[in-house]
Amino acid sequence: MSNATLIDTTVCIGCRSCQVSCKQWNGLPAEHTTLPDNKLGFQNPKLLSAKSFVVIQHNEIEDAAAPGGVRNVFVKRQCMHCEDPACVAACPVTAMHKTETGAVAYDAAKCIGCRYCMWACPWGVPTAQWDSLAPKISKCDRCSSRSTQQLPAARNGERLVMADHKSYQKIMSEPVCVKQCPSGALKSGSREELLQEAKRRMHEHPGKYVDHIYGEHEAGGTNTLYLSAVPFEKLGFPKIQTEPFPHYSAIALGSVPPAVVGVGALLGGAYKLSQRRAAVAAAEEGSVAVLDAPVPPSPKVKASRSVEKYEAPTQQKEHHPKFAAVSAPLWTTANKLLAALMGFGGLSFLLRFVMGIGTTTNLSDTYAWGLWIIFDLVWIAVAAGAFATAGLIYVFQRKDLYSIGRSAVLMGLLSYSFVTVTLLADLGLPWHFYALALNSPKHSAMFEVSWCVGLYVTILLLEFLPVPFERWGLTHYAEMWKKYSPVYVVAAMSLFVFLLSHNLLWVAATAVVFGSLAYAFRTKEGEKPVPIMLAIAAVTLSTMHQSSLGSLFLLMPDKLNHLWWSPMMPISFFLSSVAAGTALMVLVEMWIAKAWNRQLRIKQLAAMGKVAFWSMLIYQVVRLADLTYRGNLNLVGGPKSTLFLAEVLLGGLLPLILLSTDKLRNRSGTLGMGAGLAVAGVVLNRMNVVSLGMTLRGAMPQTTPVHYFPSIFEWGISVGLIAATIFLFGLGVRHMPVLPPEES
Amino acid sequence: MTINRRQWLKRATGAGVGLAAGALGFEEPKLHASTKKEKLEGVQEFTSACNFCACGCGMICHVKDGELINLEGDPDHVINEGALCAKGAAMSATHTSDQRLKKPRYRAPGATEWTEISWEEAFEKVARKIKTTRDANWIANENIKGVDYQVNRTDAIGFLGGAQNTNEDCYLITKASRLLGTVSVEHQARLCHGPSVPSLSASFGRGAMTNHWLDMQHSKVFLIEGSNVAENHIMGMKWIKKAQEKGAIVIHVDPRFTRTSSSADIYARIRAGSDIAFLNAVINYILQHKLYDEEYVKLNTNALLHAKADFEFNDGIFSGFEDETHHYDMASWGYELDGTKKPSKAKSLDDPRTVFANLKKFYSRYTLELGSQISGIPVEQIKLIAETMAKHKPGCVVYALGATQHTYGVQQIRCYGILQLLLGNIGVPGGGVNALRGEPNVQGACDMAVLNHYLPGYLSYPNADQPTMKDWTKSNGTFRAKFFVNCMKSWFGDNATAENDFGYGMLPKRNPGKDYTIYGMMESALAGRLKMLYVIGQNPMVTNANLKVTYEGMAALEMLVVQDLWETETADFWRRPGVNPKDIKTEVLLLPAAYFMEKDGTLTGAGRLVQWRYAAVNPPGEAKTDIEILDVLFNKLRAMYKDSTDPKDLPLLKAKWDYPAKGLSEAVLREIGGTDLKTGLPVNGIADLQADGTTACGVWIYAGVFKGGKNLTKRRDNKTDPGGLGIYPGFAWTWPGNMHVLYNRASCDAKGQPRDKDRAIVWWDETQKKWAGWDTPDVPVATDGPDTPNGQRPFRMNGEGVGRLLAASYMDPDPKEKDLPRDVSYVPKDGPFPEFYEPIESPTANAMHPAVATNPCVKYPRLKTGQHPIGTREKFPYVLMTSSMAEHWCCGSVTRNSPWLNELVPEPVVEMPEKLATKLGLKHGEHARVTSARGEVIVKTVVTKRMQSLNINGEEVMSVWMPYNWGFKGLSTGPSTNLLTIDAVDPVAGTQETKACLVNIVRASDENGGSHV
Repeated sequence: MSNATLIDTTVCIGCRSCQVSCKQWNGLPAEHTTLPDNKLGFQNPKLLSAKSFVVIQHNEIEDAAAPGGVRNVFVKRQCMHCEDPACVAACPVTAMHKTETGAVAYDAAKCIGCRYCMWACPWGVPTAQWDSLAPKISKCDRCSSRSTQQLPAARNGERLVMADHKSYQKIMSEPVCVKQCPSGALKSGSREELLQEAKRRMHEHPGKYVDHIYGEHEAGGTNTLYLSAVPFEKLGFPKIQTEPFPHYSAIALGSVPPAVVGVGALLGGAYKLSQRRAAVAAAEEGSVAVLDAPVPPSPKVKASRSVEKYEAPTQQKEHHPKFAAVSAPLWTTANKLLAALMGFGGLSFLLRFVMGIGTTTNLSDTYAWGLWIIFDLVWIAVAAGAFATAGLIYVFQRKDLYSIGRSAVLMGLLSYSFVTVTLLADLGLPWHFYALALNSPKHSAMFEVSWCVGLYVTILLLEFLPVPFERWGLTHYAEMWKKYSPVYVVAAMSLFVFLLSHNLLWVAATAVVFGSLAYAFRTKEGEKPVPIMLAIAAVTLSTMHQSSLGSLFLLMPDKLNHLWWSPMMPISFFLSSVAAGTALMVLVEMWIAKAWNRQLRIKQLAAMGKVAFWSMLIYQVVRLADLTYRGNLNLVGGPKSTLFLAEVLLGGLLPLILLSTDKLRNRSGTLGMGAGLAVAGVVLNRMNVVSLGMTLRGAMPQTTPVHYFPSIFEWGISVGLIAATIFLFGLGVRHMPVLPPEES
Repeated sequence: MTINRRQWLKRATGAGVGLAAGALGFEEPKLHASTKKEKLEGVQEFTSACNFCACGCGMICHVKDGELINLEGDPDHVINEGALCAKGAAMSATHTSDQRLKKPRYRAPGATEWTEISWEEAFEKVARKIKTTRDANWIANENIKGVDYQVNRTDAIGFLGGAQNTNEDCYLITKASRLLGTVSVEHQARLCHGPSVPSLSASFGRGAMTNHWLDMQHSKVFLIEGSNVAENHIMGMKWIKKAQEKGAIVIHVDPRFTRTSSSADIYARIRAGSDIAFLNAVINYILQHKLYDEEYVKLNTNALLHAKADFEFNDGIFSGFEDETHHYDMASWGYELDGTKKPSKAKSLDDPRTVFANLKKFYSRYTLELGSQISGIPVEQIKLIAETMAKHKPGCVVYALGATQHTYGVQQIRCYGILQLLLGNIGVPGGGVNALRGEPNVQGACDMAVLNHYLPGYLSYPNADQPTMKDWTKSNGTFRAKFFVNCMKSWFGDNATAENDFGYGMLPKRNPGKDYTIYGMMESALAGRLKMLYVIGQNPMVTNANLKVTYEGMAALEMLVVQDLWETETADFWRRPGVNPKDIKTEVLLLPAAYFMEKDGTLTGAGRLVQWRYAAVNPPGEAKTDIEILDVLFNKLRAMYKDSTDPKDLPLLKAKWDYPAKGLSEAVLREIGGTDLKTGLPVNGIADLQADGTTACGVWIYAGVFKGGKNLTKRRDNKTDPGGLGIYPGFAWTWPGNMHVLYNRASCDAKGQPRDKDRAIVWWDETQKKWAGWDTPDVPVATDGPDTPNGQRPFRMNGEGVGRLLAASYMDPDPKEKDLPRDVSYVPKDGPFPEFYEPIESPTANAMHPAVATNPCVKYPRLKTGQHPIGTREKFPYVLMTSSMAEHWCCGSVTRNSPWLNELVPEPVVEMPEKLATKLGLKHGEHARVTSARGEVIVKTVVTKRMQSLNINGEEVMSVWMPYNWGFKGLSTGPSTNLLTIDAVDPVAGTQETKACLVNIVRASDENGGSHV
């Protein structure tokens, strides 16, 4: 049974006892305020914040029918305590949780400070302690701490007895604001009783109230219920859908475990099929097709040919080049600039922790997420090149792309690693990261993304490890890699499915599928090991987290313009990431060629361009079909549609045209332009979804708009990390065999 | 959001500091999180009551290891039922505030800083100065109108404050100051509800709120006029809301649309200062349309009594006016008396000689049209209000300072009295004229007589021309003389005997021609007569009207002693902005006092509920309770005089002053509550008090507070309410005699049976032959039935025993004493009926009688030296009204030191209608320069639809509002609005006209922006 609070705005006298009582009980400091805007009367503070869980909103509404011609309506604004709250669904560590009594409470000990709850709440309730070096989330918890207080030892020197205990418990079970309310505007009780009470009041005073109990149906029902004499829109209450927000993300997240099993099996099947096809083709050609990672020879081979370590297989095709370190001077002007940017990035990172996130960033309760999250989402999308390439090369046996495999993986590894670093800076309480391992929420996209990205980084690392092994001749480790990486894949995938499903059947299914794949694709005696399990894991995990990044925004149908918001977002995100990832690889390779004055491997790039074309096409078709199906095409022409059109036309249609034929794709100019526009389109998409396409109302009651432009430190860290990625990529290819040797 | 706001540059300058703060940042929330869950584990609870307004809300202090952990509303308290307003909810911070004073301080003449000193030094300095001042400025005899009288007085020492104190503190202030020989004893009531006591006394016999907070739930209609109850008496609004939930109609008449208006069913915008014109139009409408309660009027008022034939009223002046002295001879305002010196009574209301006929004649001038023309309220709305009041019974009048702070405040409240007597709304549950008192213990401080013209229990203070007790009795009656004797027995103990007139001669006597009010004291200081002022918890440097005079008066003192929680504007007056401290020669002592949660004692709320507060925690630092300071000081002084034989020092040496150090407050309360000197036991009530000196009672209206030897103010029975009327007889104790609804006999018919059976409160029980009921029956003798004269005295505290439509001069003969009256009815000196006059500074002419525009009894300017200018409407075209607000309280020294409250309202403002703002070219938030004939302030502008202009006498009148709660000390500073206000006062009550004066407003240039004094 949920306990709720009924707020009758017709009774409230605006005395603000609730505001101060809340501060007194919760030990919240005062805010420094100034005279509010004239429409706000005496309203102060203007917004909810980490220092104010309750704000009495003042409204002065002209109304000739009201005594004095003015309706002075006071509205206590606070957490709505949804029955099925978006913030709880969002929280990756169950820090935000529903209590037995219906309150939405917060456990600071678990919180990692991701602020997804702030982004998810349709009312702008959770706020962050921007002044603190350990900025926790703050919000009303219906005084959950009061009900557990013990009976005082004595009153006026006389011991209290059990009879006192009962009345004491009753008093303490109410939130302090309700208990201290002088006017009777607040009433605490069970949700059902209060709904009846509200209906009784509406019935007994016909014409007094508008025919709407705000909170009865909003967001699937809330435990803060309002009665009003004026329409709620006039009081600044947002129109909120009646469907609980977590429904959408629950569907998306619920499909993750079966998707893992399914995608794994599919990829395995595809590999088997392509392997077979390759074998048949090889047999026809009379040669043995060997696709390899940089493979150490089998022990036997190694024993006999111990001098030539890691020598490439003897039977080579032209599409199966060697790799070699690039020899180029490190301290070029460009690299010096990159180093300087990295230096500033490093300093910004340091200052972020010394001075606090609130001090160093321009993030706010309105813009709880800013540049860093955009940066993360954009980079994860464009870093999709790694999994797409690995998948193409290994699973779909696109050996023609082999030569760009290593650079794709290195780029991916660096990108993902630095996304993780940005997250470190962005999280309010990154040292609570272990909470992600100790709590598993039901349907949190953030939890899924966190685990998925984390595991994927390890997979990327494993994918890349053979390169340093090869470079530095670490045979023993290479052996271990060969032996254990498939095992790791099975374990990681099973763990992942367990965390997401809590269902041993799904875990078993995952273990069986991936176990049998590992067994089936095991490196047999005399065979060169193929990192197929890593590739399958990489593609599976990427599919999951790329799509889950879309799921993150499923909780925000009331904020995100429906030109972007759709239950299909997870799929769109995945499809667009493939397009962006492959297109970015084209750009990276072009940049490499240009930077080191190497030959442009136009054939491979054209092939990547083709993949980009098709994935972009599917993405755009799916997206437009979805828009049409939902009847949202009419939103084009409305607000934000410039952004949408830029994305679809310049970042979708135009690259599709530029990449449409082999002829066009084989021209480096059009290929580069097409790839660039495709990447830009997806980048813009991510920016739109995260922020630009949103109607951010800010902290309740949204009476003061807040603007955002990233601070110099936010830019510092983001730009510094981009610089680091480029710099380290350059460093990597200089020292390790990542790129094929330049054919002269 | 900008980087600037986050002040990163500031922080970046010291990464080390940042790191240190970082460590705190990690720890603080962690501690917080772990303590909240077990916050109240093992705490001790102490019950207390709030120290802001006079609602008297119960509070619970949670104390652990001597620390105040939490403070919230007492859920078992009958008035607030656990609730608190924003100010009350913020109260916990006052105990722990860094701003609290912790050590005594001394400021030498001309010094620029305070010096901390020890208590010993402080006591020595104060006592020594009192002694030298007293000795050097003693007036043993005084010549008044050619007669030499012994007066035993000094006018060089004044005491100020008491409404912030407990009853016990106040009682000792009263007692000590009079024993020292000063009658210059005043407290906050002078500035706020000064007019209530004389006005309500003139109508009903007692000067207090007739009903009580809980009783408001029974009302069917409220006329809230001159009160912003939703903001300033929030717990009062709680009970009004309860009535409203049951269908009661709330009428709010106010110049300003406030949070009270937002809850009203009818809101009438009235021009500030025109209330009497409106109220009289309502009363006239009720009279003309016979909407009054005829049975009630005949039975319970003086309507049928024959008024004197020579009573007249012409052109704004009543008969008996003496032009030169601004004074009335009241002889013609009385009744035609019969052979027994009792008023003669008519058979019918139609008798043209009756008070009622006079009333109708007087009122007939107040047509709806005239009322509307003067007040700005539309005719239809006046009519609607009159009809609504007449139709719905019982109806309750709620007022506060909007009614009192005028030069005719007493008369405005008289309107309420007349209205409610006509409607039969006095003495009944849900009725009444409810004076919402503003300070926590302003009622108690009045009861204890921290006012120059009273002795405890509203006994008139003896004047020089009343040299003996008998002389005093001649003008006050034998009924009250008895209580005087009891007071003297408490003050002088065995040294008060019948032979020595019970010590009457030892009391200092007032000079009736002198002004001992707070304004008089300041003017006396300016004239060099008042040398030393002792201020206890009052802050005249913010709250006095026309502050400039106060500034100058303070600087003229030789010594100022301030006993307070904070460094107030008064304590720091010598270094206010714009003065050079070196030029100010006043010695100042600042003594750190204890706040309410740090001390024992009682307070009396507006509903006369006397409740005990327990000391929950120790005062911070070296701060001491007021009562301890007073006790130590008095004993020290007495020791200084111990060998004196000078008759002037007799009162000090003969006084009974032997209080224990432990349980001091309770011992004082025992003295207040009365003792049977034969048995040594507490008396059980007023009826036990004797005139022969065998009983002693410090404050007769509190007799019985220790009934049965128990401190009844500690009672907490919130369950027993036998009549269901919200009386709770077992919860604390209400004066007089635990009576909750005054004049409740008037709820019965002639036979003593309840007129409204559904709301019976008292009745004559024929079987038991006594008055009975849910409340203490308000009858002279409980066994005197309706068939006896005592059974027909519903307003027994009036000489004539009935409610007074005409405040007639009347002495009730004492059947036992030939030449002495039994009781004397009180008459306000500015008129027996309430006539409309304009404020001293008015935007318009007096439409009733242009030649007598303002109250003819007002003397203003009082000072001939230019400090009392009167602004003209040509130079100052706008009406300024001032008040307190929900979030800040009075002088603001408590609330402006509370960050939580400063957050709610951070700065003072001037609130104006959009039309005026447009005219002045002012936008919301811009600085306005507000000037009056007396001063100037610059504050931010609030432009709001809640303010509107009015059409008055055919012209548009614009009004503005400013809160008066700011000053130059505390965490939130701002200019004091009282620099602008006028200190013209009500001629009866001495209360200033802060509700209406004239100002001009211009846009302040930006470089002058920011608030300054």
